[in-house]
Amino acid sequence: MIKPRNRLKGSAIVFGAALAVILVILGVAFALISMYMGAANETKNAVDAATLYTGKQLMDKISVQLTGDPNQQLFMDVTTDTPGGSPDGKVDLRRINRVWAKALLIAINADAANNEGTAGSSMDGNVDQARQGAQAISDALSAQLTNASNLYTFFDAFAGKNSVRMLGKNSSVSALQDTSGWQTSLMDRNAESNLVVTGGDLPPGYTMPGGSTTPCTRNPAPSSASGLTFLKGYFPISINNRTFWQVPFQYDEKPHLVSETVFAANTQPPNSLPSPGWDKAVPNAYSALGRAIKTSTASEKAMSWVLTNPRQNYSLSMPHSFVKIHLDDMNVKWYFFPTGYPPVKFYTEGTYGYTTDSVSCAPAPFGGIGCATVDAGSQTVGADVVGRPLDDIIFGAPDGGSGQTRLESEMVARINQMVSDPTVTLTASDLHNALGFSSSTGAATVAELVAGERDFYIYSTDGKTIKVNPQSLAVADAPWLATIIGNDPDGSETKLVDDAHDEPAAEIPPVFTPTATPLPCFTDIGVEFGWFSWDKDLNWTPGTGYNGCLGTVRVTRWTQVYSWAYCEYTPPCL
Amino acid sequence: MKVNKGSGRGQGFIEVVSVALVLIPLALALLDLIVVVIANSMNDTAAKNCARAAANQGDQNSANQAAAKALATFNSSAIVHSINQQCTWTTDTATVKTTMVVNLPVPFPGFGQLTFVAQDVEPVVSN
Repeated sequence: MIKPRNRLKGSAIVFGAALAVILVILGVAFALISMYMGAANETKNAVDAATLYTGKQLMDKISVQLTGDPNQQLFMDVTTDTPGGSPDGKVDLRRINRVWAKALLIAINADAANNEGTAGSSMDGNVDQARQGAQAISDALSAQLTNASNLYTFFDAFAGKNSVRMLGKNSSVSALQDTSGWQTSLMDRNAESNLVVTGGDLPPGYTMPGGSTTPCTRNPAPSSASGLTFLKGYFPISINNRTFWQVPFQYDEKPHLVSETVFAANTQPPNSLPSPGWDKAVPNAYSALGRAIKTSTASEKAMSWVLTNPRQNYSLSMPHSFVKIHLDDMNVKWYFFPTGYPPVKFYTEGTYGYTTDSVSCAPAPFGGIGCATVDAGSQTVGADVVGRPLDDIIFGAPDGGSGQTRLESEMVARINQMVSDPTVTLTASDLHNALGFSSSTGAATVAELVAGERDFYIYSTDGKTIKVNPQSLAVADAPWLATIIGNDPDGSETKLVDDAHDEPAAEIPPVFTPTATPLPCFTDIGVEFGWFSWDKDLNWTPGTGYNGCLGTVRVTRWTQVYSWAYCEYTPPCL
Repeated sequence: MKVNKGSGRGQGFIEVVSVALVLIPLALALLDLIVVVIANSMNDTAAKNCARAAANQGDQNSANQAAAKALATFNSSAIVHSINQQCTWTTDTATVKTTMVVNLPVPFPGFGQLTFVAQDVEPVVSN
């Protein structure tokens, strides 16, 4: 029988020691791998946060200053973030759509004037210059935003806030200045921009080019976006063969990180915007590359992609603009009936103001059948305007019918073009109130009219409401008006209301009794009857707003005094 | 020469016990190490989630609530004794510091619980 060999003494200890070493190695390896993966995770998180911060900062902190070129200076009024804010002459990503939108609005006003036959000779040139100005500003901004070195500072300012302690004590994340990691993309194509088209800001009857607007494209759309229409981003908006662009910013969407796949699919090139193309498009998405370093040794890299958004909407507007109202001098026209009918104007004598005034004219020779003279006598005129606010002077009796309604629509569109707050749409009621329809503002315009003011200006100082004042008060209230208030609209005048008039049957202007002096043999006075007619013309000259003037309303009022008399033949005449 | 046959008895047992005395604590320590790594990662994730939630808010109160809500969705486990957060919101940044107390599965004397602190800073995107 063979005895089993004795077990080797101490073998369990050797085995155990080996196992212990293996376990220790495994433990250390696990710890190191965990720290490495943790460091990678921390680096990625830090880069994500820094990229998001960069996307947010570049919205406002990378900007271009308007040059002295008048075509750029005309966009000064949209270089502010808030309606009614003070412009600073800088255009950034938040504001660039406002610049393009103002140029677009100028083109729309010109196009509408063309359609109505009221375009002026300089309109086309003004539209071109405005578009060129917007293009130049946009190109300059695009160059700044696509220059990666402008973004490093923002990235570094935030990257250090998050710890990468897994990498070691003195580790930190900073921008890796390799331009291949700092790219831009044109995302959310055909989605809404931050420019709201209220509809009230378009000239009457004007419709936007097909496909140029869109409702909110978020799914689901926020309830506050219900009913809103926006200009479409990264979509060529063409007006008379001129193309305007917008950068899409989905409604109320916060800046957020996006996937590399979606980002890469929207870079230009290779994925270009639709013809005619926007070579120097202003991007809305940015990538950033960061690395975590420990004592200058590169350890971890991470890349992130952000889609930015200002989360602020504006309406299609040109805040520093105005509409001028000019009141022609009022005069009295004296009519007589020498042949029975029609009446003949004998004289145009005397002007009158916004107080009642006594006027007279010389007796009209042969002013009636059988009359040697007809004398209208001294008459009191001005009852049609005295004590009436500016609103009544324009829109009050006599009723101008459809032409007057059209003027009202033109004016409402223009006052909405002064408003940059997208939550505000001014109505005809707002217009009439500003013109003094309501008792609170009416007294002021009445006093100004009595004081002799004949030119009034409608403007907005807060981008939400409008004001009406004569020049001196308007300039004091809105100093930016000083340099543009003398500008005339670049359209041509059209008479929307041609001699609207009220005679006694309608508004009951005064009646009176003229004095007829019969001719020989016409001793019996048949009729002596006189009456007034209040008359009004309303003229409208549209403006594109290129020079700040959105249009001029010219009001011509006058009083016609009719003296009707005839004397009957009294035979025998010796 | 007379060989003492009983002199080797129990040596193997002693060896095994000796080895076990080393290996078992090592294995248990390794288990604790795994728990420590996982807990640290969980705490980092919680801080990140809370900070992102807070960064989407428009003021300190909303940020506090959002961070608390984010933390409430955190899937706790038997090893997590407690976790809480402290949120600081400014118009620029949302900072959340989370403190997690973990029960080690194999408590060693003086190391029954470990406290992890993580902090995350996110840019506020709500304004």
